[in-house]
Amino acid sequence: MSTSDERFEEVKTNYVNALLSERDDISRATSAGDVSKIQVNVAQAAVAFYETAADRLSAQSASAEQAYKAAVTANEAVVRARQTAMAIAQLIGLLTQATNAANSLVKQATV
Amino acid sequence: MAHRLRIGILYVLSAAMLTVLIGCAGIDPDAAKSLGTAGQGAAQAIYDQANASAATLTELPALIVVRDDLLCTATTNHVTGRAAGATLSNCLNNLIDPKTKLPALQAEEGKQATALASIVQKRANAASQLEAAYTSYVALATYDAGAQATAAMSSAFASINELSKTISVAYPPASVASVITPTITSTTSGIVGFVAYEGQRALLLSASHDLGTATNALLTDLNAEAEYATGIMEVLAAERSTVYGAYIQAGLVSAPQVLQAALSDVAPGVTTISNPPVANAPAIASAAQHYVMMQTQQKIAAISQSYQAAVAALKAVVIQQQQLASKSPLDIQSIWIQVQELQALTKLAKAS
Repeated sequence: MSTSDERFEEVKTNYVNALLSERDDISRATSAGDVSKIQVNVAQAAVAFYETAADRLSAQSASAEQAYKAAVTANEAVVRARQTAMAIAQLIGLLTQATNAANSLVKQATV
Repeated sequence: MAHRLRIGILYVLSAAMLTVLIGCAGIDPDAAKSLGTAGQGAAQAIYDQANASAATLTELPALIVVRDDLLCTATTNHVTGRAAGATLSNCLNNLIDPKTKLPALQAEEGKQATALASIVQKRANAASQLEAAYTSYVALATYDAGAQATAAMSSAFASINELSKTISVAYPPASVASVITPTITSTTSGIVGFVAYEGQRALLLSASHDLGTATNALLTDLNAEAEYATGIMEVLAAERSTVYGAYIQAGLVSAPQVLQAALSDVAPGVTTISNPPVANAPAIASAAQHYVMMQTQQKIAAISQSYQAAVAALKAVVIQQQQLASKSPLDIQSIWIQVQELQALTKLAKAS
């Protein structure tokens, strides 16, 4: 079972990575729609992070654990995509998946 | 003259008896003074660290909206200088409406920043009161300062209890210190009628016990605060740096000016030129962004390290309190080493 600290760290990693890469991601955007998706993703990642701050995601259940694993996988996929300079459209898809996974983790693991 | 002489002799005898009696109780006044002084230093350093932390707890939602607008300038690629498909104007036209974006951010981020600011302020107060208690302890080991010690201990305990309560309200799962009560007052009331030396001895013993209790409770609370605060403070630091980066990106802050700070680190007194070659502008802008990112990473690391150092400083005091209580030799230097480490990290956290 993952600890509440590990879960918090995944939600935080998703937001901080999206936040610190936002400028570079926008510079690679090929349409206004891309820019909008990048900014929506950062805003949603922020809300997910601040929602976790007081609770720390300590609920233990199979679905919470599954959500944690999905969040880890999604964050790792974003890191790999950045390392390989993946096309921006695909990268945006992965960013959105990672934030959805973070939100799902918050929902499943909040006490 | 004879009267003054008698008073003088009585004073010398009193001081000698006090020293003997305190020694009998196992509290060496010199050791108590050294520990008290180091405790003051540790409490002061923790107070400074709390104030440095407080400065990072500003709410950013409004600035994040500003950042969104400025980041639209990134649609013009800073390496190629050409628009990358998404133009500045269509980026601005498609920005999320702040009226939609802000309420959720303000509700969540504002709530966390406010709760933490309150905790950090209470911790600063608790550290300040603990410092006063250590000051009174040094006084107690030097002369009859029972009233000062009793009052200082009472204030320190009250402020630490207030801190515990504030943390547990903001973060219910946090492991905070249980409510603590000083013993020094009851000891004082219990010694009415004793000779002054006995009273002094009992007070010093009681004050040592109380300081151990208070320091340990603050350590527990500091650990609880650190667990919740560091993650939020690190993210706030990252958010601040992206706002700064957006100003550089938009050309509102001069990139050479940003890089001047970097140059000063390696070549003090040397200044960059105000009009570097235009062809180099993209490289200079990129370097400025990298410098801001590097500073952010240093700052983020310093936040966590300064909390660890604050915990280590208090732990060192607690260990020496236990040594004193068990009549074992003290290692006061172990406290000062941690205090210096904490002071250096607090300075770094403020500067970066």
